[in-house]
Amino acid sequence: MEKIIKLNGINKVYRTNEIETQALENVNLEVGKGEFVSIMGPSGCGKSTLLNIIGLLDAPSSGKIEINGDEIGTHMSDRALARFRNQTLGFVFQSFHLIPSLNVMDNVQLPLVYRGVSHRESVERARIVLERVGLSHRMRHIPSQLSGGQCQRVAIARAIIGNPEIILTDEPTGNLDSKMGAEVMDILHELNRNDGRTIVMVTHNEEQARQTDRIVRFFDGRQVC
Amino acid sequence: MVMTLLRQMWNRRRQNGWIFLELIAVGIFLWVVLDPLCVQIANKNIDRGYEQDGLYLLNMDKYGKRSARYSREYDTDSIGLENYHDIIRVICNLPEVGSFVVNESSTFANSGSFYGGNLYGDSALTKDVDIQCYWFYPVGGSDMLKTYRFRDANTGEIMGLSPDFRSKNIVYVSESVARRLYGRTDVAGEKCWLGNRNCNEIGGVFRDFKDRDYNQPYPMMVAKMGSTIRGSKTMHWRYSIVFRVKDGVDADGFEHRFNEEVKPALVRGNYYCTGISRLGEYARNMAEMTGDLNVVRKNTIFAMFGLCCVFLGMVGTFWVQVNARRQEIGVMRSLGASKYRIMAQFIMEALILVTVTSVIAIAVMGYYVHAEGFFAKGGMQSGEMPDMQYWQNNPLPHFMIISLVMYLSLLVISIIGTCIPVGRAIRELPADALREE
Ligand SMILES: Nc1ncnc2c1ncn2[C@@H]1O[C@H](COP(=O)(O)OP(=O)(O)O)[C@@H](O)[C@H]1O
Ligand SMILES: [Mg+2]
Repeated sequence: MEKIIKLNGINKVYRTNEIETQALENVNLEVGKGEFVSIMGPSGCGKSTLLNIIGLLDAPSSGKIEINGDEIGTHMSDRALARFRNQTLGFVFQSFHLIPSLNVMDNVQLPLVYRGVSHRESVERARIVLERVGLSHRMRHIPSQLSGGQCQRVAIARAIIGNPEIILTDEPTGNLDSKMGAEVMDILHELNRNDGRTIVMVTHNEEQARQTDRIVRFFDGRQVC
Repeated sequence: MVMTLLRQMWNRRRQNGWIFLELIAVGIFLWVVLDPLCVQIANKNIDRGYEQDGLYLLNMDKYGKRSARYSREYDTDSIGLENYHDIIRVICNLPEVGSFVVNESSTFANSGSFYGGNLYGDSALTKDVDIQCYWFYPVGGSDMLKTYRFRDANTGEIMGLSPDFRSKNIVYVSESVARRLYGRTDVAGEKCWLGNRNCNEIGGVFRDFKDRDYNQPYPMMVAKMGSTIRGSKTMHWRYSIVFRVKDGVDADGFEHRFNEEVKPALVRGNYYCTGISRLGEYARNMAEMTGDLNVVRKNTIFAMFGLCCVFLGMVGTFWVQVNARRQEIGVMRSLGASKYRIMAQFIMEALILVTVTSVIAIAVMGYYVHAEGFFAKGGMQSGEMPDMQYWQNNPLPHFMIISLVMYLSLLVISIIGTCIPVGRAIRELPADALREE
């Protein structure tokens, strides 16, 4: 299978005044195109750190990241990094991270606004993705007027509106009850199966993980299998 | 994009409420403070109509009857007159002195006095003009126009007295007088009447002249007084001797030499010289005494205070907002907004805030100014018609310019006040910004 993400010897050390934490130690990970990978491990083992590094939100202390065959990293300009996040990556966070002062429609359109897509087109595409996550009747609501499950569906709509190849999601069901969680998982599976999106998901839920193509387990910053 | 931003700001109205009110309040405050300040500065920047540098006033005094140096024998009008002619001769013979004039008491620029009159044209159709008069005594070799460097309104050349000014009743008027009496400025040779008594011939028209640095030019006339100086017991305040040093003379060197060598010897009879003052010094003292300088100082400080409040308010508001919106900035970056884009959005927010609040503040001021008569008397003396060539005398341009200055200064300060906290926030790695506190 063609590899879309390649991590080579990634290390991440957090230094604070007193202590030094090795959050990731020599991580080598490859993810194939169209694969749905879950990352598991106890709390504090470095899962979020890894996801942030893949998503170019954080910089590794050392190591190489390749996405789609291009080496990605801090040598790139802020503008190039921004373009990369905008076009290739979609994020879904545990705590949704919707912008509270924007309504659903405006939140979902953001990636296209940053891409410079015309207003008409971005409204059109926002309608389509909101329909897809079953929220076309909530477009004018602001996040505080929505339930957790609805918020997460908005977040998914926002992550996919720009047609990114990779979706990175950190415990997407962590803040949801099991019924809402199942709904969100259904949408992710559907995106993987029907649209061929590559998904990397951090989860604590064994059952959810078993439904994915592959489970990567971490312990204390090291990949254990 | 702007619509989205407006919606977002509306949704954040509770957080933006305080800065919104502060901006309106400071906007009104700034308008009120900037108005007189801008008018003062504009008046100050109007050309004086003469060259102040190089002009000096001779300070004279007379020994009092109780002074040890007083001489009763010399205290007669005829000896006093001789003494004064002597003193004038000494001054005009100084190698540094280029030209001089003997003015009637306190009719020189910045003297602090006002010698008024009414000038009538030769036609019954035009109204007379309130004028200020500078009177000079036709002492041999003196020339007021040349000493002050009055400029000809038509040619721009430095003027001098006409050769026949002794034999005729010749007066010189400023261009605003000429315009009002004749509707044009090339009026040399025309007749005019001073206080409806004497018929005078206009010898030339000079550019508008500012008696005081912070006042607008007043319609003015320069004319000779009598045929020569006359003896009296109070010649030291009756006659003001103003002179100009030659171009290229070093002012400090000249003043030093004058005080060391000339002044001690300049004693004639009971009259003695107490020194010289630069006319610029006089102008400054005058601005100090009339409070013009204080308006500038006070309003500059007020304006800076207002701007400081806005600056701190904006930094404070955006500091708090940006800290509260750290995650939002992280989210924006995770969705592909560049640092530049985020900065631009915050600046845009500041711009919208300042624009909306300025419009409100300007509307309030517009209403107030309209209710007050929509007119500013900026720097004119009483009874005078405003000269419409100056923006500060035109209601609409005046209002627009002050409003624009207010808006722009608020805008600049607000944008600086926004960039500082936002700039700090966007330096963070997105992962750190996104982390829960
Ligand atoms: N900004 C940070 N500064 C210092 N230590 C950090 C920071 N972020 C994470 N860590 C540490 O790095 C380790 C991995 O964290 P994280 O990736 O968040 O774990 P997980 O998501 O697997 O629970 C933890 O020990 C955590 O305390
Ligand atoms: Mg985590």
